[in-house]
Amino acid sequence: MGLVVEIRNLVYQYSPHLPNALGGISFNVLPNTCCAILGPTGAGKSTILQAISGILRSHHRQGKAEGVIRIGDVIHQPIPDKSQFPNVGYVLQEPEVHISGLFETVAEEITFTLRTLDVPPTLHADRVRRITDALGLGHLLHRNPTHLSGGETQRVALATILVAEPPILLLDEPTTSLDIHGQMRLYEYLRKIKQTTTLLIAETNIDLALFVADYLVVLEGGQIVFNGTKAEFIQRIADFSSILAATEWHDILKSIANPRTRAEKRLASVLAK
Amino acid sequence: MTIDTRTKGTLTLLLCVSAFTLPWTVGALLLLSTFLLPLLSSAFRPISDRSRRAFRRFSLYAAVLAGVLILLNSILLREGTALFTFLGIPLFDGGFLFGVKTATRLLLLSFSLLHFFLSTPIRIIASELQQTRIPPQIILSLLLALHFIDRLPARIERIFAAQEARGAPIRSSFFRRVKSFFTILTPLILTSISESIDRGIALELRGFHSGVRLLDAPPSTRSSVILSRAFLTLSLLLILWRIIRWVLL
Repeated sequence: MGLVVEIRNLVYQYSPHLPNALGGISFNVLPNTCCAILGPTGAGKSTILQAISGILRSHHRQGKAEGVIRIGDVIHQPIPDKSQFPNVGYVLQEPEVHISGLFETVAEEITFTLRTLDVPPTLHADRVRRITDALGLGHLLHRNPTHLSGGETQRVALATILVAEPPILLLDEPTTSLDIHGQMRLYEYLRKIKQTTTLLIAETNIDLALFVADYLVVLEGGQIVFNGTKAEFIQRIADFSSILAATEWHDILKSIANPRTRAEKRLASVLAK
Repeated sequence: MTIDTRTKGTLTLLLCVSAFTLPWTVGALLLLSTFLLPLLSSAFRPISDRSRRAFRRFSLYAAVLAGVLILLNSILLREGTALFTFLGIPLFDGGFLFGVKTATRLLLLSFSLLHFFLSTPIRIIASELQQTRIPPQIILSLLLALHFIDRLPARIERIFAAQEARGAPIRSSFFRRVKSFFTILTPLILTSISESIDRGIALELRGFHSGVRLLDAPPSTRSSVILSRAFLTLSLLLILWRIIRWVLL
């Protein structure tokens, strides 16, 4: 089951010479729901995910944080100081860094996560098979993980985290290296795992975020400019056209009015609901 | 002949130590013997076509470098008698001998290491280091460095290709290639360091900690334990002998 994530008055400054990356933000993500964090580059999307995962504190010692982050029943004040895995799974924006380079096959690479968690070896094969089937990686199990395409690497990176079945999953722009079919497949999968997992997705692809998100948070310059449900977001959709890419908005509005591709039809049907 | 990674590692260490402790004539014989290693044991053969190509390329560069080293020493170290003249410049036998000695030592050092790394997968090195009770964090740092070296040529090629696509005549001459290489060196190193940090973070995000065994290593045989201990002892004795000689003389 997913866990709640609560962020209260989170302020973060990477260094005393820089302005605040996050300027007192607050929002909740309920268990088994999905929150999409939208915003232009530098808005603070990745900083929020890093703060929740625990790596912000452990890798930016000079950074200054204030506020509270609650993950399930555990309150971290101000933010977690070490990796919260396996309670929190975090897939970084560059999927290739998730490939350790230590293993000769995709199966071994994914299994390594289970070894770090001391999962009994008798369960490894079953857990790996389940996740690879779900992500369509079955045919890659015996391939070298360093010799995969961008989309395949993205899915293997995701599998290395999801195999641990984290109750909270953070995804930083997960569709960057995927083609449109890969994007739809991933989001279909995320909709499925949302039943048991709390999802936070930093995304620039707004139509895909709408496909899976229950709540949306729009950031600008480290401040929240919108925090609400999907329906509320759609009602105020025109307010954010200056913050987010205009071309994307044009595409979204066009696709809602006149859906042509499979993805657009899906989006239109999701928005119609 | 079957040789496991531990024995191979300690033999490589012994050869490296020999390069700087034993007389250069012994070093030259050992250098020749390193070329026989892949013929004597499959454990020293390159693990892939890429490794084979890397070995051939490195051998070519090493031969050129050794030649240049000997030539420069023969020209610049004006000791002994002039052996012959090269383009009107006299080459001296004292400098020639010093160049041969230095080149032999460097070639023995580099070929020993090359044979080891081109014939041993990174994961096997990791599992062996793990058995020596070195902390996983240190092993991981080493692996990240090896990974960086492994990816460096491909990364350079990619940057060169991108530069060429923009119309820069990167490969028009050898000197332009060398000049271009120095231009990209700093950003190349910085991005590689940044990527190594990200890889470390990614492992931390997968729950990697000091208690985690990276890989399951096969148990060592009795003969490999004896051989590796013998090579290690010999290496230490050679270092000790060298230090004593240095202090006494």
